[in-house]
Amino acid sequence: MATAFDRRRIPAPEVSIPPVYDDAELEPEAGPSTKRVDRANDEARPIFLKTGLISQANGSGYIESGGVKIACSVYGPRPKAPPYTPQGTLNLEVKFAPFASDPRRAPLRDTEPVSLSQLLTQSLTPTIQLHLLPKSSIDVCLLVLESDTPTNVLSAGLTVASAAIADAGIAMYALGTGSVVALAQSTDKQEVLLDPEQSEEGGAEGKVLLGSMPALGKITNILLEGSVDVEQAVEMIERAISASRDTHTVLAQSLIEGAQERGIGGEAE
Amino acid sequence: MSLPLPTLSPSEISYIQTSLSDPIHPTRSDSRSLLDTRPIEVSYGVFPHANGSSRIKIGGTEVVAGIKLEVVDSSESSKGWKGKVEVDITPQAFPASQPSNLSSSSAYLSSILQSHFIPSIPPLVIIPNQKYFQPQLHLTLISSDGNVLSALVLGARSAFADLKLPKIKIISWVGENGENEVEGAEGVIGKGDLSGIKAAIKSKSKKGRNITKGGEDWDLDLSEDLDHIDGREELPVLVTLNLVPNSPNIFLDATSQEESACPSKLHLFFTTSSTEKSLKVCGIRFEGGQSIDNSRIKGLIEEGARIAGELISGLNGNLPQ
Repeated sequence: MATAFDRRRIPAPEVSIPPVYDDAELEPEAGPSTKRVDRANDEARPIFLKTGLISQANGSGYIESGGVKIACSVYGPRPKAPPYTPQGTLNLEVKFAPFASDPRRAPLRDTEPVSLSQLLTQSLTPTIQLHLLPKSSIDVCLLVLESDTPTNVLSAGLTVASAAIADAGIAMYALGTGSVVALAQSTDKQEVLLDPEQSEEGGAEGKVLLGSMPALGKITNILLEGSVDVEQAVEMIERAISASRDTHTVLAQSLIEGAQERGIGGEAE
Repeated sequence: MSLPLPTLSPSEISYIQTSLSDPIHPTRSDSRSLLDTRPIEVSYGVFPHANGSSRIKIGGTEVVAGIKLEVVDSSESSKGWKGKVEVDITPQAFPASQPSNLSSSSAYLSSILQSHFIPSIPPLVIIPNQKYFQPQLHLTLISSDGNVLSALVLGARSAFADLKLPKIKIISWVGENGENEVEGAEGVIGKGDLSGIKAAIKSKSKKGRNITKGGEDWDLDLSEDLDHIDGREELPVLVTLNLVPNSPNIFLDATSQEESACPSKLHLFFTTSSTEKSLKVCGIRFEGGQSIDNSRIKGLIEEGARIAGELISGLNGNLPQ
């Protein structure tokens, strides 16, 4: 009580209101607008992906994809305490920086629900040759610096985690990539939108997050939310599969560049 | 893997996998066919104090579900009326596990139900855009022998089918200089005396006279038969397709040993609607550690839809009255 009237200090204002910014983007049309202005419905936003940024880790990757920025580091394979495990263990942790989402998270309070780490582990496990790593564990740490929706975080997270694991030199079956597709209800018809933004996801009838290995033509994880017809669900999944091939190209290219920077591969023997 | 599973030796795993993946005569230890489920027992109204309750038994897996209604103030759009679900795993179900592992499994199962079951429940209105009943669903897993998530979703669906909404009587009073006083929500006001509750009521002036109106209140009318909720036949069901490693075979209703040997499963949530006769998918989740070929997905979802159609017609034919 006494500190409130401490004359030696200038008290903080009792009420504080955050500043209001003018929206620099275009005003949306009346009602939820499903018309995209900057790209086609089946076009994903550009991805920036680089490996090898964190030198202490065995492997690392950084991705910027739309409204998501994630830094990923991989430590391993590391020895694991007994009891004996015939296959390697994947320990994956997703942490959000306090400034990553709106509203701001408390710094020490735990990140997102356990479900994000669990879903990402599920997406990533089939890509790694764990049978080659008995009694070992691989520790993957994802730090989300900017996020818009949990599904976009998961899809970018899968892509960057695959890059980091490959950068660490751990044997994989194939590279895993994530893609997100939403089904939006327009005035007269329904449109399938690839790589939806936060506003598009809010008004969507359904959305699909797909984790896949395009090189092998296999799916490692599917998550569907919302309510859609069976044919629409199948169509959304097929669109996501074809989109993941483009992401795979970007991922493979960035791994080659990362290896060249370190002087491995790409140089003629 | 979310729930603790029995540990099997490599030869037991191989025995189960080989029997299930046989292309001509796949066999299971209880001689069911691949797409046979164990008999399902559903009981309604097992807890008289809950607003809705049910008990499900699928083989050795047993789940009880209870719903309690809470009153919330919310508008239609702000979704404050959305239900909440909590799954509790009793330690008796997994005597060999640590309680801390069970709590993370409970959180996982609760989050699945919250994402894929709860959104299909229509708002339970008391006063539109103002007061709603919020259903709080509590599921308890008493014992487990595989196919737990299906049992939980069935329990949830049956509890909502059993749920009876109290009839609502809206009470408000209009006083006009002492005349026409109906029921008093806060007590009868004397003629012209507004001093005690001036802040609580809105005073409207009409032709020079003061017409005072009491705040709207509501009361439960338990005298007549209670109603079931609308749309209870359209609530979701879950079909879990278990995948056999290195084989195109799928099977339903795994026991916990079969789940240990074949950990990959595809969970498909389906709903119907009364207007369109076709099924809608309202959730897909994948668990396991295996990957699926791209080409299999369409067939798996369609097979799941076919099975869900049979399950829904079976369940809707046996709803409590």
